[in-house]
Amino acid sequence: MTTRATFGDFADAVTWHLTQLTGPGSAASPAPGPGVHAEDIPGGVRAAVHVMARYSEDIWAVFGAIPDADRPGHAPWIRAASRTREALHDADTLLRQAPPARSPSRRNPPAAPAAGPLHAAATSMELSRDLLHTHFSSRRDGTRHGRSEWAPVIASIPVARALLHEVAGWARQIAPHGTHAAITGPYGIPASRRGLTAACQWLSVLSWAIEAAHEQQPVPASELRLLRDIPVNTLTPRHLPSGGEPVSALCQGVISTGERARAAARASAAQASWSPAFTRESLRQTADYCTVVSWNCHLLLRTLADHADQQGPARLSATLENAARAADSARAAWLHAAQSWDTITTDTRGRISPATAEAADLALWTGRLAYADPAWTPAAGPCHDTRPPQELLAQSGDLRHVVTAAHYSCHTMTRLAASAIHQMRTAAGTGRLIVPTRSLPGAFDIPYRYAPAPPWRAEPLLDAYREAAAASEHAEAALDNTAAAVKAPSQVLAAIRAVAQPPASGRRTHEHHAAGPPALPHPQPAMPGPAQRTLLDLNVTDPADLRLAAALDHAVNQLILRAARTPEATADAMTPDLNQSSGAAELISHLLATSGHQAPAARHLPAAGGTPARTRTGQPAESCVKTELPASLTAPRQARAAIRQALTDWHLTELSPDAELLASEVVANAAEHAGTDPIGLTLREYTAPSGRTGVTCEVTDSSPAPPGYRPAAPDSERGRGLAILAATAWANGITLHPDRKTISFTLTTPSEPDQATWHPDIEPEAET
Amino acid sequence: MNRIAAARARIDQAADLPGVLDAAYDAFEDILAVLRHHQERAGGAFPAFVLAAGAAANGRDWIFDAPSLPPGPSPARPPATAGELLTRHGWVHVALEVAAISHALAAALTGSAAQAADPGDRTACEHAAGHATRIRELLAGAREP
Repeated sequence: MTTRATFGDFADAVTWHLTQLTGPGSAASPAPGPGVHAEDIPGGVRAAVHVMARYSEDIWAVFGAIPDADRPGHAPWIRAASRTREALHDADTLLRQAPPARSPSRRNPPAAPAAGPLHAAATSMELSRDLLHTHFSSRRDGTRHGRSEWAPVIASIPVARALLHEVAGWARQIAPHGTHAAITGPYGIPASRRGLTAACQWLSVLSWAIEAAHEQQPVPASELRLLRDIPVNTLTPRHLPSGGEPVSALCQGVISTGERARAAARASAAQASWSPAFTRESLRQTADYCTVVSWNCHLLLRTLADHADQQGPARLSATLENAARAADSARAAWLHAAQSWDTITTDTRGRISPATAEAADLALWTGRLAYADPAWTPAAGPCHDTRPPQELLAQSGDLRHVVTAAHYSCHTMTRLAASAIHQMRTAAGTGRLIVPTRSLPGAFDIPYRYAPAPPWRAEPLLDAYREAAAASEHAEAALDNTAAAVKAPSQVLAAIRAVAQPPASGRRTHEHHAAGPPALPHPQPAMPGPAQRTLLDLNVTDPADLRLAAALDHAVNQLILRAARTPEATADAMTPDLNQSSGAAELISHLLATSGHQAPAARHLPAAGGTPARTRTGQPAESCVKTELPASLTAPRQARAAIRQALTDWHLTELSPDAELLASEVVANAAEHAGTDPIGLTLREYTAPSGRTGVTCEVTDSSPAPPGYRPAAPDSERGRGLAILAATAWANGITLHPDRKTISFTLTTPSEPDQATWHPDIEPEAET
Repeated sequence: MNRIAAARARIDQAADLPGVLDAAYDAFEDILAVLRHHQERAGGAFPAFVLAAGAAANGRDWIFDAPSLPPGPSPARPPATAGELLTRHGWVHVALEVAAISHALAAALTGSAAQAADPGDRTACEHAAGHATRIRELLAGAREP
């Protein structure tokens, strides 16, 4: 249910144009219909085949990427896709010998209006392909990158199958006409005549190949419908209700606003590391508005359930009741998420993100639908009656419209929650989540108002959003059943989820949703934790190993979280928390040394806690420079000089600018806060098993207090040290001792993939 | 005395900028506590209560950013008793009480913003006043259905 053009619109146009090739009442005959000139057929076939050949390349990109292990299950369609590609390539080549297509244009009008049907069909095919491509953009390396929530659907095997099925239908319609024109046409170049005949035979071959695959593994009607429902990737302009709209118009407003909200959420997810709109106000207000949206959905579904209870079938009443309960659970979860911002904040203030504005609009549209007052707004006073069922269901089809509106609302909330989780994880990794220091235990002697959020503060916030995401998804799944029961257009949402995330990946089924709330998604650390980072550094790419490492990192965080919550936990007691990076690294080192893992032998783990980096054989790292700097204004300059010299000696001069910048920030901070005692600077050459080289820098000062974080004013020359460190270094850590602290960071030479931007499981496009 | 009335008295008595900020911080906290206590029983007013609570939290956080807010952690306040959270009153009464104190809070903060010398104080007061106004807008029209 969208006002945007869909693939089906263009596919219907193709079919309609192709049916114009034959006159009325003679559909079975390949002879051209009245007004269709045979001499225009070859050019039209050529244009159509050219577009279909491009389609076949798109389809093959999907089937060609199926992993070897999964190929047997898709063998018939892989074969069909391969043959289609070859057939269309050959047909396209053969038709180059045909006379040039006589495309109608103003300057060169067709000799007869007959050029229309096939050329028009080819144009519609091209437009339908362009429509699909609006959901992708190309990267510099030529790879496609999804730009919308439909991208994973389009790139899925079921939709590729449906597309092949569509192409076969077109080929089946075109081939007889091309063959007939080649035999009976007036033009007399034998090569062209033979080329057209052969090309049409290839069209027949590919349609047979696809039919054979369809017989072995039929394409379900739901997948064909899903293909036809794919809309163009554009957004309708924002508009607000004027008051007095009919229910169907209000529902359309909900759907359009949801589309914009989801697009804005996608954009926000990609910008969390730098966007000034990543603010606590934005996220809190989004959660508040989602609370209101889910409340409004609850009211709507409750009204429908009560009505169905009296007048409708019992099964419909039950499914509506179930959906209403699920929406109420989502309301409670979002409320908790909003309240979780009480103890944590962000490093920027005041801005409201586009996603928040759209969430506010969604609350307004759903409120107009749920309440009787045609001028309802959240700020119009807290006293309103809900819309009675006779108004909500005044027109036939309103039930489907209302269910669709609620369904899309829940879908939008799921996406907003996924985006928020992604943003917060990115923000936690870049130091953008902060806490008021006066809310920290008294033992934290931090002379600033804010400090980076410790894990035991960030995790509950993330947990609250995970609950909101799970509850919203639960409501969405409950509405899948309702939509199916009333045949609402939003049934496509279930198909999208099924296609974009097949059950093999452990996706929950609708039955599970109906039985009760789903299990929460497995918590993930904000960024690759020390265990994950070390495995990546060891070139371990096995997803099972990486998941195990993520679980290990998560377990360490949970352990620290639990320890920190005990009344006796103090800053000194929490020292192991800050030292977890070295602990995990050494643990992995031990595991590798004792498990016979066939990782490269030259393994140097990052130095931590003042211990020299060691190889697995226990030999000290080969290059190390230690120096002491005076706690004065000259310390940063001396640090830069020492680093420059060391990196020159180690042939790592490309790291010099970043290393000098980071060391300068850390040393300047130490000089400012560490009194008059000298500052220790240790540089170690670092070699990863992948062959990448780098440097680990440790700065030790005599202050045992952990460094604080304060948001830097835009014109301030200071206060960005930790943020720069977090953003630039591959790894960094703080080790606290009773009488000193050491801040360390590691920089490595660039390699692919860029570990600093690797995200363990974040791909919002894939989340539906 | 309930928390709202006590907060109102502190706002009225605050003489200087730090005093207003300190009173405003606690007032927003008290509004938040009262609204959250009542929102689940507010019926059709639930959206207004939720959004007003969000505005109170945002207002409190802006005050926290004001440079002139007296430093150091607030002295631990005992948990509010049922009476302090207006438990015996219906949501309409609560909404009107909160709307009234929000009006006073917005006026005090607007006045402080106009007089604040520090841009940080000015910005914090202006934003917090905006959130107080928002609370009043959301709750002022409360009446029994």
